[in-house]
Amino acid sequence: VRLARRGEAQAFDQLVERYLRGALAVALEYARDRDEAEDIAQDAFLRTLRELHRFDDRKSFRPWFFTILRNLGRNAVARRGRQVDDVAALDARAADPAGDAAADAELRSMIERELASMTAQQAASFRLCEIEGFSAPEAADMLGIAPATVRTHAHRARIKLREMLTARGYRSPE
Amino acid sequence: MSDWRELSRLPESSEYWRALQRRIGGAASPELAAQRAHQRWINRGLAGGVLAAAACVAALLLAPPASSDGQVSLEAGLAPADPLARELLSSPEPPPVGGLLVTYARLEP
Repeated sequence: VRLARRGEAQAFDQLVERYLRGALAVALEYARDRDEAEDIAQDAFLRTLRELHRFDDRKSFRPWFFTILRNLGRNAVARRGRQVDDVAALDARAADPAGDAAADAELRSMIERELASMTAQQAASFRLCEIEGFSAPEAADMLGIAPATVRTHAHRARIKLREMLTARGYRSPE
Repeated sequence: MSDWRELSRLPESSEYWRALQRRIGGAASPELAAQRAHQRWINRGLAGGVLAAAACVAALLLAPPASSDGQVSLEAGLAPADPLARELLSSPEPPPVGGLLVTYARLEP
């Protein structure tokens, strides 16, 4: 962080490399599609670079960075007036060809709808921990909440999804 | 679907991540250049400060030593022209009244 603050491109690249996957995962929570999520993530890195002189080196970088990212995500949502339960967008997302081709589109669509019906933090906790594989402390920093809260949200979301899938005759993933 | 991970919205392709990283690095390059320039400016300022401080130290070291009676000269310079007042101010102890009277008598025409 200190080197990036001095304008060292290599140090900045390392920061981007380390946090890019998480940044895109969180940005997708706010974005309509991956293109918009990439823009939000890029803006977050650029804003972070401009604000690095304000960063307190004694603190952890990750929560600071993700606070900037979430603020930009909220701004994007506010600009757009996004409807979270926009079924068409969710269907489009579920049918995203970049996703796992083996996944059943209908099942994915159902899961996306169920996630969209949950609170934003519950859905995001589940996505980050169960789907994207981040640890609870990592997801906690990314979402700006406590790790225990992330675990609780993810657990409740998993129960809801299992109930929904079981009720429709599907076998819930592990 | 046997695993929640199959729902991931993050691309698997390493080329995708490299391209995105390059894109962000490219967008950041003007800001990075500005920060390097700013850092150079600070470094030059620091170097100038160090040089100035070194010059001050050298001047102090090379300056001729102050005279040992500097303190006395200063007091004499600050003392009023009036001999009576000078005696009152410059004496290490309160002057005896008799001494002051003698001084006063000398002032009288």
